[in-house]
Amino acid sequence: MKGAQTVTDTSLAAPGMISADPTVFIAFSWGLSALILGGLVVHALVTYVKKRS
Amino acid sequence: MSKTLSQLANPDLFLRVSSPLLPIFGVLTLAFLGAGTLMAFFFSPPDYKQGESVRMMYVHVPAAWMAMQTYAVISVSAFVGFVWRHRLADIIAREAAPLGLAFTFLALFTGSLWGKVTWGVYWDWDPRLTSMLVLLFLYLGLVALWSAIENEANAARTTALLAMIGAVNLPIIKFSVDWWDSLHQKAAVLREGGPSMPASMLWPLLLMALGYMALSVFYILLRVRTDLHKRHKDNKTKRAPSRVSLEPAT
Repeated sequence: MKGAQTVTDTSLAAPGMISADPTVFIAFSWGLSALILGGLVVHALVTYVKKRS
Repeated sequence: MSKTLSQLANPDLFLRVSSPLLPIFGVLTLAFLGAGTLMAFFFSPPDYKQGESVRMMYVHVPAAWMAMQTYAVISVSAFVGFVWRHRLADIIAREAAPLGLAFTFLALFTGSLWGKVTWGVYWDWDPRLTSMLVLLFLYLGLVALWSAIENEANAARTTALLAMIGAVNLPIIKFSVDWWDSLHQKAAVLREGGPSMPASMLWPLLLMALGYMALSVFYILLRVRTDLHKRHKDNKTKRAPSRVSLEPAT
């Protein structure tokens, strides 16, 4: 049932406080996570290949 | 026990065992993160209270879990390295620290964005948020100590002490929402009576968490193997040994 489920019943979120459009926040959260974790893995892979050869 | 640990801490054995594991965990990382991302954006409904901002949870919660789990791995490795002087344990503790730092930073950062959308503030001196900030400082301390102390054996012992003492913070983070009045919501997955969230939200969360876990194993294996290969090369140029030595790198 779309829009009728919640991650928790104990959330203190007040409906009036919730921003109408959190798109930028979602994009920033996912983008930064991908950038930092992807960057760490790519750096580790490049170093590994260099040291191994 | 010491003998068993010595056998397990053999660098040649580690290189042999980790070699087939590396591609397996690489594939698992891509598969879990790919499936988790698809489910988070296309199958998870918006939360009835939080709306679309619930999609931030799918990167925030796994990052927070992995921040704590990585610190637990570091503490155990530091303990083994400190008590039984196993260099491989020291290497694992050192190489896992930057990853734990990244997870903690991401947990705090994405949590802060979620807080702004949901609570109306980026930050609050709440017990859960504050104890996570302490974890960030602990990770910064570990990374800084490893970089600052030139002698590898001394660096390992000093950072091991910090890692073991800092482990006290882990139960504080976990139970902070139960012990004190907290703005942060209580546990919704790892709690008595099972998860309180619906399957449509639980599945993307678990898939993302498994992806982060596989990524952690992949990263740590890669970094430890890099270190061992470097030592192998260094030793070769010194005296051409037939096996990898764990003598402190110069």
